[in-house]
Amino acid sequence: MSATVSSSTRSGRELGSGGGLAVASQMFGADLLKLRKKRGTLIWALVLALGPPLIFFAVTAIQHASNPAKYGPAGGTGNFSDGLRVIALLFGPLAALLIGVEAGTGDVSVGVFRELVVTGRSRAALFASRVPAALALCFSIMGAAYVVLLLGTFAFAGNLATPDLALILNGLGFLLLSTGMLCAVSVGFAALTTSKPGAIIALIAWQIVASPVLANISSLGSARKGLLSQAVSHFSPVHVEGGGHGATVTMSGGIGLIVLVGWLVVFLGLGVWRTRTMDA
Amino acid sequence: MPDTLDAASANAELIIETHGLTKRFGARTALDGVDLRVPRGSAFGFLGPNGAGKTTMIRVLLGLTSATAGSMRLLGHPVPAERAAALSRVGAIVEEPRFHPYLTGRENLRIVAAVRGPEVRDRIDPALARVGLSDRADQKVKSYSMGMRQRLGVARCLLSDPLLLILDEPTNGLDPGGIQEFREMIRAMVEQEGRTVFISSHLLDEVEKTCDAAAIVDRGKVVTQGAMAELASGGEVRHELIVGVDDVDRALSAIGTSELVKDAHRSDEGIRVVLVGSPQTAAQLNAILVGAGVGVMRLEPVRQSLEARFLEITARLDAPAEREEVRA
Repeated sequence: MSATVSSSTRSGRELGSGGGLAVASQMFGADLLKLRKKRGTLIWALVLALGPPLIFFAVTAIQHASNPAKYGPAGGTGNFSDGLRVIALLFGPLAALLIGVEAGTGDVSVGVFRELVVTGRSRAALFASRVPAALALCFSIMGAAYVVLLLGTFAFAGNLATPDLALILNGLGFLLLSTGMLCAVSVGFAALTTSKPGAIIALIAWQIVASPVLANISSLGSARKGLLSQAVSHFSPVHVEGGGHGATVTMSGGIGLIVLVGWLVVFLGLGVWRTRTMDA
Repeated sequence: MPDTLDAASANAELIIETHGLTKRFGARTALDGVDLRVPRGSAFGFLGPNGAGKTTMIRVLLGLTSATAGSMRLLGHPVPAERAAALSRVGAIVEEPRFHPYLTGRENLRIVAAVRGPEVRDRIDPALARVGLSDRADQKVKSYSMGMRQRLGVARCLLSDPLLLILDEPTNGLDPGGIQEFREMIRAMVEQEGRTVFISSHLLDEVEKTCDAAAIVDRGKVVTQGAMAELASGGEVRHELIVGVDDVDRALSAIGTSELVKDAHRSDEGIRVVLVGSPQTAAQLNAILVGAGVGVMRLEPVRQSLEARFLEITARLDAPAEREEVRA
């Protein structure tokens, strides 16, 4: 027996560690394929991300057209800020969490996870490829939503001032940060729970109910800095008070960054732990 | 046959080897000290009733769940220490093959190919052709029949260019034509491609027709294992003939003293004869009978039934439990 062990060599085809970038790239592509072909999730994510700015501009443009004295133009910097808050803090995160949960539970929910485990590929690698794939789809959709926001902002600006390049870039960065964080956290949380409906309900409840309520409990003091929504809001280029996250808790950029990293480490860590230890 | 092998895979005579493999779920013991030896290049049946521990054994072998105790080797590699190297040349279907139903057959294979490695993508089309699914490869899997899903499952196994295929109840849900087709494919993989196929099944007939060797498992223990003929005869290789003759008495007196015959007695079919030597001595027996003026209408080897042996073993295992129940 021991003789056989000593004669064993690790071949170039070994899956646990080999393959490098080519394998990582293929696994990313495969995970992205699974996500973008999941029509239900994709449609809901598009509706949540693109619907609100389209409706926002349609309604305000109609109001402006019907009564220009009472309602200002639908575009311009002010409406850009409102639209950004709607996408980045309200509906975008909901779209992001749907994508993240699908990425985190897609293989397990249809029983394909075990088919991937029997390839010999490490479970950590299987988990790791889900995150960039989820982010890629999330960012694509958010990018489209942001284009809609910018088109509306400039097309309906009338005589109002429009955002400068710095604000446009900061707004995009903030949108991607806000939705990307929730998307990545959702991948980890969903992998931890392994239940798609359970993860969606829990994350939506957290995002739109629990998190704002906690932010409003002033007796929690600086502990509220630990809320993901509060840390994200710190990096907003536009004023976010009342933007759906309850009271805004002030914090330094460093603290905000630490909180964001902490959320990622904890939930991605839990997700990879569960993926590695669960019976497939 | 498969390309470059690592040293362990190339040298392993036993493609699966376990020692004292045990798996407990709380107080329940699903596998109880299993010692299993599966030789390279054979179709090996893992036969047992439902709940005997067959699927648990496969899940442990593949690292889907961990063993409580014992050791195992796949393709010469100790598992789980070198699990990745071992599984790189293993294809497996556990229970039923699962797919993303909203993806096409080809896309489902692309996903596994991506996980297995860059070189595997080129095997997708040949694998689909091998199982006869090329024409339906671009349709969504949710439109596939059970048989087509089984075949797609095999195609997915072939992506690894496997030295070992592990198939858990592979004919479940297949119609008779599909079963026959599946059996032929497995035999071709063993005989023409030199692969080893490990089939778990509760269907005696299926294992008997498909496999070269088998292990019988019951209540988490391997009760016996070996070549199919040995298993059926309980380890004793027995060459028995049914002889149909026009005069039974004359035939019995003619062969009764022959050194070729171990035992001969009257039966419903004529005479049952147990030969001393190989099956080829049947020709000599025929010559003796003809020489004695006996008309021989039938000379047929008796096929030892694995089913009879299986029932004998499981009945023996049941006996102590039943006795305990009676006492209670």
